[in-house]
Amino acid sequence: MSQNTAVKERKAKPVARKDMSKAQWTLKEMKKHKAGYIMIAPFFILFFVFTVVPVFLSMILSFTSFNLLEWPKFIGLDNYIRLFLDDDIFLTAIQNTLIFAVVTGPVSYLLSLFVAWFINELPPKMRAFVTLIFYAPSIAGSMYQIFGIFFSSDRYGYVNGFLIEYNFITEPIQFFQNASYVMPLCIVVALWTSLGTTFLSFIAGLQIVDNSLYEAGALDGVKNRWQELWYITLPAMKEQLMFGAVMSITGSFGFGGIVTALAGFPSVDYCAWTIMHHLEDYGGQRFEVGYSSAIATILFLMMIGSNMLIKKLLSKVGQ
Amino acid sequence: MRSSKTAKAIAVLLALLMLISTGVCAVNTAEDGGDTEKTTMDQVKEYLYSEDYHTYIEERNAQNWTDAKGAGVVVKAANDYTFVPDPDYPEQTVEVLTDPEKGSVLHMPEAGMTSWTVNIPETGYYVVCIEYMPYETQSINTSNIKREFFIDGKAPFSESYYFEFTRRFVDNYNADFKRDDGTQGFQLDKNGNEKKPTKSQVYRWSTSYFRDSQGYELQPLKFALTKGEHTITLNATMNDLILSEIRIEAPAKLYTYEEYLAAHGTKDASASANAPKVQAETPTATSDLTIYALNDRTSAITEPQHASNQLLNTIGDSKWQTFGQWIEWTIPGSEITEDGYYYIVPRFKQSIREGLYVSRVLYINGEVPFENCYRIQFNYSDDWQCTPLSDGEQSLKFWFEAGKDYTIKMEVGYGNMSDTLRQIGDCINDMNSIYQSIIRITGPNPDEFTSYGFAEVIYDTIVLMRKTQLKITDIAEQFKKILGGKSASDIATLEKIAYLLQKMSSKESEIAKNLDNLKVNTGYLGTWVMNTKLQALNVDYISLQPASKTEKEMPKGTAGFWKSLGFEVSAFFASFFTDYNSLGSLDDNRDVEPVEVWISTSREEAQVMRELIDNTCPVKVNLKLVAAGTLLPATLAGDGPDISLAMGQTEVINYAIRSAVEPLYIEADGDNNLYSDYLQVCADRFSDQALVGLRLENPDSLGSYIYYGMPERLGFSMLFYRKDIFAELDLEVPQTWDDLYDIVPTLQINYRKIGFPSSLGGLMMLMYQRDEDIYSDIDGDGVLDGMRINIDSRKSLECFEELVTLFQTFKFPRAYDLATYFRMGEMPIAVADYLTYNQFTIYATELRGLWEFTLLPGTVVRDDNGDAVYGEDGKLMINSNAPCSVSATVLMRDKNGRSEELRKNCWEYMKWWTGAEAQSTYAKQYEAIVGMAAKFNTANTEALRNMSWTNQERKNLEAQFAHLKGTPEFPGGYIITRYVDFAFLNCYNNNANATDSLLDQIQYINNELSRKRKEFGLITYEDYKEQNQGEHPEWFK
Repeated sequence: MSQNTAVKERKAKPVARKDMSKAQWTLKEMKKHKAGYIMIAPFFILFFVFTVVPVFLSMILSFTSFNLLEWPKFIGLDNYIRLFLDDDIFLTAIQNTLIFAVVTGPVSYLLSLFVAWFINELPPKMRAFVTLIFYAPSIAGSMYQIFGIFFSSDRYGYVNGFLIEYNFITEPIQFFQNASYVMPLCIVVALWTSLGTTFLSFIAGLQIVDNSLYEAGALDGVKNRWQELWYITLPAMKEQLMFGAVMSITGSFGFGGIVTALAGFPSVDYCAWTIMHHLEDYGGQRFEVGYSSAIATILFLMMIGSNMLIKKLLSKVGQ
Repeated sequence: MRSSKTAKAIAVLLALLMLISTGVCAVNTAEDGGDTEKTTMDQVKEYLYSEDYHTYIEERNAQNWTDAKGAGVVVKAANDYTFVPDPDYPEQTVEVLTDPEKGSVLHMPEAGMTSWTVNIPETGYYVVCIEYMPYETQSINTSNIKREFFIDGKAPFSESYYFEFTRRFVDNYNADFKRDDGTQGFQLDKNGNEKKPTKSQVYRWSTSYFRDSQGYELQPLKFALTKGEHTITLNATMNDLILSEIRIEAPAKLYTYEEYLAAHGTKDASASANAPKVQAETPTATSDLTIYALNDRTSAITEPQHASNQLLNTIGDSKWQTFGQWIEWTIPGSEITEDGYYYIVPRFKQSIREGLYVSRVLYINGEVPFENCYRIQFNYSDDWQCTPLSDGEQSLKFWFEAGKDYTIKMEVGYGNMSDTLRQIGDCINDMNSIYQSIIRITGPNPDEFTSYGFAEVIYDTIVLMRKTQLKITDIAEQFKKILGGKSASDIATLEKIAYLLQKMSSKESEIAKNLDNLKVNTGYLGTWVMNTKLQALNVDYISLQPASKTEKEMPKGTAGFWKSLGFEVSAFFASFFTDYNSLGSLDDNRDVEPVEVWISTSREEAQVMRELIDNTCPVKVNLKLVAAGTLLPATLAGDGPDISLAMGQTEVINYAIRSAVEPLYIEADGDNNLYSDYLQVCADRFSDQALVGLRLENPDSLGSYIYYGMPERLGFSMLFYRKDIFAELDLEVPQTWDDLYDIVPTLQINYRKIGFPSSLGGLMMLMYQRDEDIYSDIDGDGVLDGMRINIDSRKSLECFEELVTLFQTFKFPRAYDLATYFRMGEMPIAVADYLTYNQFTIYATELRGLWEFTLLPGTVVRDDNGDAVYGEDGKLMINSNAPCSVSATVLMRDKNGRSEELRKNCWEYMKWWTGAEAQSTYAKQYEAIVGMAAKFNTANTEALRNMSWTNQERKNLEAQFAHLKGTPEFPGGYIITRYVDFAFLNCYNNNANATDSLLDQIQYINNELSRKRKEFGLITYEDYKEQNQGEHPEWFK
């Protein structure tokens, strides 16, 4: 007890912030909280070395011409100039990525929210079961392949087989090799698989809302469930909303793997070509890592930008 | 009813006609002695309409044929033979050799027909056996010897097209390596693991009866021969053979078990008699190179066992599972101390055929002692077992005499199951023909609501359905008996199919509805038979136990609890100190810098490679198994290997233009190259087209090449077709495109599809057959320069249009599951990679002999006037080029430079690895891993030839090998596939105009090519145009 008071006293002793430089102040603060720093150190070091450093490296590389096997050459802004002025396919990629982001991002976000909200109303045992059902597609990594079988281009694919059997068509439709079908199908698959982590975090969020808040709300004149949701539930789970939003955005901007698996690489006429594909194309196939770093940088900036936007939007929740 | 009678009458008439025509055909053959005018399809028909053995015997039994008695005939092979060479291999001819043991014997080559005249003393059934020896050739040939057998110029039944004779291999044991207990051991590597000994083939005389190579008949096949003179013929289909004599004998009467016991007295060996034991991993001989000692770690008492080291302690497993493979062990007479009856007790593990048993045929001293030995059974258990040999009903005793050496040979057979398997095989064939005859009327997607009038049109098929249904019900009953009530799922499948057939045959409207079901079930049944035929068995040791021992005194199959626990615990701790991933080499000499080689295939393949290196490689090698995709980061970090294996040609050039791969030969430097023999070595070993994808034009000396890498594998397409369907529809195999167009309507009327590659694959094939290149040669120096794409030339556009027509007008399918379509006969003709051979051989065993691969349909070569050109031999000149692509062994660049010696060693290694010997051996071992029918697409011409192809297959393969065209690689080449595919899909999906679609994409391709060239400092089209505008204005119109 006496020790605690001692700490409090020392803390209470004023040390003027303005007397020190910022570095000194930081150092002092770090020393004070060193236990905390030691505890996050393992994660932070890994995160810094394998995530932060590569991001910066990639930004540096985006100003070079680098083919992976020879030393990079500095070429200034050439990559960016080419990207915006001389690369039609990149524009297609941006367009597709935005379509994916706009359609699947918010839709899947809202879908997750509402599904979570409904499921939350179920009795606990039932809830666990239904949660599993909704979450399953995203645990089983390549479950979306089932769509590949459904919409197979072979005449014995399920959909083709059905359509041929009932004489709607005579020749099989090349679902994933026909520009008019690829994009819509991919969006459907994206939505189906997107009920993942976001959805799970929402369920968790819904359950931490304190019941007394609802009672208080009822007394204060909440008239219906919508008001309850908007004024009580959502503000109480803002962290989860934020987390879910970040996951949705990175998910929808980084969308690409599923398209490759279903529609091939590249998809016909680049019709479902996203920035991720563009990046893989230049980085993996054409060995132009400098250029693909520039693409990655742009993608990174887009994600950061939309994250900020989301933050702004979320701050409006409950107002 | 009347109409069905008429139909029947017509059917009978047709059948008669067919019989007569076959007869006529056969007579012709006999007269001409292998007339070359006979078309392939006639041969096919002859084969297709020959009856099977079962029917043959049943028919003759009904005519009261009986086994011949008496001595039979012995034909000395070297006397009075007539030989007719194969027109395709006129150089192959018989020769008479002198053998110290047998006198004059006949060496029969791998092609051609040899006949003898025999005088049969009495009418009746005979069995035939030959006394033979494999012929020692230069090339290492280890596959079975195959022959067709004709009587009076005609195959008596379809099985006689497939007689196989095994070889004999022995392990090269080294007497210096003894185990602690004094038995034969193996060499240890530096980690203390036992190493497999090498094997070599023994050339000695053996006797083999003509048996059913499918294993459906347990005993030698019987031939019905009338008294008097007959001609017997052996037609070579695979491998050389030395023949001493052919014996035509009266069928031997085998003892029953009771008779055997009665003949050898009643004395059981006493319990105190010595119980000799041989370790199974040290057999006396095996039938295949690929049956070798294995390591088992699943039991503590497998002998010998070690906690950390891998000791070779068992034999068999999946290496010993196909019909006819055998292993022979010797029990030394010195260890048998007492005359009497013994049980033969192996310690074995059969954990694959759940609920079923696997079978073996037992030979003691080369003979089947009594009838039950054809049906030795090994029951299923997931652990090791140690029980006396039994026929499923009782444990069998065998008579052994003290002091006499005995050989015990066990051969894979199907035992009690063989007849059932044959019947199921027949049912599959019936179901296939039912399916075929239905889709001939309805197509593969029948309309449920249409009345097709099946009863009138295909009455016979409906009858067949009913018959098949009865057969299957019967088989299900037999199966219940075999299984003794266990594993109902197999029976359920059969019953389901029987019900399906019953439904379809009793109600016409059910036929169309259930067609798909029928197809699925046929496929399922086929797969089931294929799996059931695999009879894997793992053996630890074989011992003789005196028959008077009680069960308690017999050895145990499984270890006790404490023993197991001790073993597992020590193995667990040992695992911390053992590197199971190192592919240990024998050589521990540190003075020589090893060549570092990276392989990224499977672990088994790497092990095979390691063995091969230890046994025959002239230089020291450090072999590492790495995950695919490791090469790039490793090279980036400057930590890559000296040599990387099996790199695709695109990747080779990708690395090469970024100087990550060393050039092996720079043409401009001539003999100053370090590896100055490169071109010569390649010319001796590979098709000249194999190098096309591995070279780049030398920027410092235009018009000459720099070569990277040695070709390792070479892939190309061939034409696969179903012989039976072609014969049935009376079609000939298309040799040209015109032929193909001629048969398309017939195929399509019968609802058959044609498989052809779309997009760039198809386009390249058509272009290469018209001698058009993918890239243009802008500077005109005769070397393609990759500055511009050439698919916008007039000829190329025509090719693309033709390709699109195939898909737009003729409705070729773009996406299809070839294996299923081909198996069901829906797609009787398809162009596919020649390695699809493996898939068909393994996947569709019921189609044996009903399909083959052959030369692609070609384009008739025309002169400038458009007239067809004839070659010197007066035959139409046809260009049947297939695009080919290679993967290569490459020398990676070392940033720090290599010592002169290491550079030399690298070259020695590459030469060794791509050489015929290493490739052949590797191919053999690869077969051992993947399965007997698996072929590996080596680029080495000789090694490819040496693989176990039949004559016909080899002939076709060589024909296609002569018609290959490689595709050069250039910077930016990846873009072509992409845009051609876009153009093609645009036409396919939207019925767009072919030329327009393709031309739309040309500029994108060319831009990318120029951009990439600029990146690597190569001259681009635009630069070239500017520099040479004045000189060659005609290029730039």
